[in-house]
Amino acid sequence: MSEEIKQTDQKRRGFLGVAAKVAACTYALLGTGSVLSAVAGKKSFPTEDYEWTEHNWGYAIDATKCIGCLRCVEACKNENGVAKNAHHFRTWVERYTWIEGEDKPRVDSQNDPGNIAASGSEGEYRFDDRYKDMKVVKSYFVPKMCNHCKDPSCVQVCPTGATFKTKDGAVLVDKKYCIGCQYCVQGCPYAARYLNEEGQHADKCTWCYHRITKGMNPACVEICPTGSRMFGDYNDKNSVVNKFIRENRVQVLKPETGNNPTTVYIGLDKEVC
Amino acid sequence: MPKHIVRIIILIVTLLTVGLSAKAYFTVDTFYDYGHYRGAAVTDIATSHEPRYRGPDYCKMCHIDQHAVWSTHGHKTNKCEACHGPAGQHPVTGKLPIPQDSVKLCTQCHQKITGRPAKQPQVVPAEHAGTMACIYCHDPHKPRPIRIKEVAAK
Repeated sequence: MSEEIKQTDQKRRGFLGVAAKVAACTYALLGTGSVLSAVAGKKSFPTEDYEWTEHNWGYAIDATKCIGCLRCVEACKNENGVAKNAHHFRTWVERYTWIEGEDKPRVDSQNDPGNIAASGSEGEYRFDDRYKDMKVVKSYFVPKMCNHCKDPSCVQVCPTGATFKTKDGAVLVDKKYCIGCQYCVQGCPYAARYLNEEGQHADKCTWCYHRITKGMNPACVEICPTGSRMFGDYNDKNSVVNKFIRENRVQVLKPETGNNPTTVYIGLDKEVC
Repeated sequence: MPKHIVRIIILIVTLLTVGLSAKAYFTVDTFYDYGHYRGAAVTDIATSHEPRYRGPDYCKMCHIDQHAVWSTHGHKTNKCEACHGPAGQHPVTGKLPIPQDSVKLCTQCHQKITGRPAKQPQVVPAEHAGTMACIYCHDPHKPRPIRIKEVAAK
């Protein structure tokens, strides 16, 4: 190898070495900088002590345990200030009853006139015993509510962006931005939405977002005396919903709509929808 | 550049400026921060109001005796607020109503009706107790054993 080539080679090596050092230093500086800024400016959303990207909430309902006491309906109304009448419900309970000789089940909910008569007023909720003189094949209660779908049709049809899916899985309504057109009320296959006449905006179950962001359960789950309603984090493999899914063969309501509900059930027949 | 091309360019630029500034003006502050919605709405909903149902641990802070009885007997899965109503700011705002009509309250869960699972204890109130109030024999915090001694004394 000639002297000239050797020199060029050394120059090149020297340059590469320096370049590598500079690159390493810059990288280290940038790295430290980003870590520092991350520590200093760490912000959580939507509140100071709750970061929504850390959660993926889900709801589970064991219909075999529901006793139709309607404490959940009352708790929901109390907790969220829902009008105490027979027309506005964020959650409700339906009774499916198969009578001997009939093809289809009879369905009644707490807003049925017979049940209102049994409770004595539209502001109180109770199931009557209307089937006591009939031959009942089987009968059970099914708690219902917003399924907080992964692909919610209500969000898709909203013309203003007033309803949306949060990063932790809830489907919420921005009541300041909602124009009350009710496309979402029609778009929901589960009839989980209603128009809040007082505020002229669409309204629905929020999973008690003001509670879950504080580490509490939704009011309906909190109050259910039989554990029929469960709420938990899909991100936590030991959560009550993940345990429920592991231990049971679960189903969702109306899977054919493609809404991809996050609420799972057990103990239903195909007629329940 | 020919005049007609310049005019078209001026027109396009003007329309774009007007359109974009109108959009910037009419779009709410936090819109598009996290998606096609107002980001601030999530905080609004999360902080809309204080929870009204506080849970048995909250009640326990003052009502230690009742909590001790309730939490060791049959009704322990039925939370305080299911019968007494939401605690809310009750220590500040005053007394919670103590349910008066025990038949009405207890039958909410224990009346025999179609649809209720067989495992749930159910009665036909008229057959079970005539016109007597449930609390005559059953302490709601400790439904069993029934108050035999007290009932016998009466």
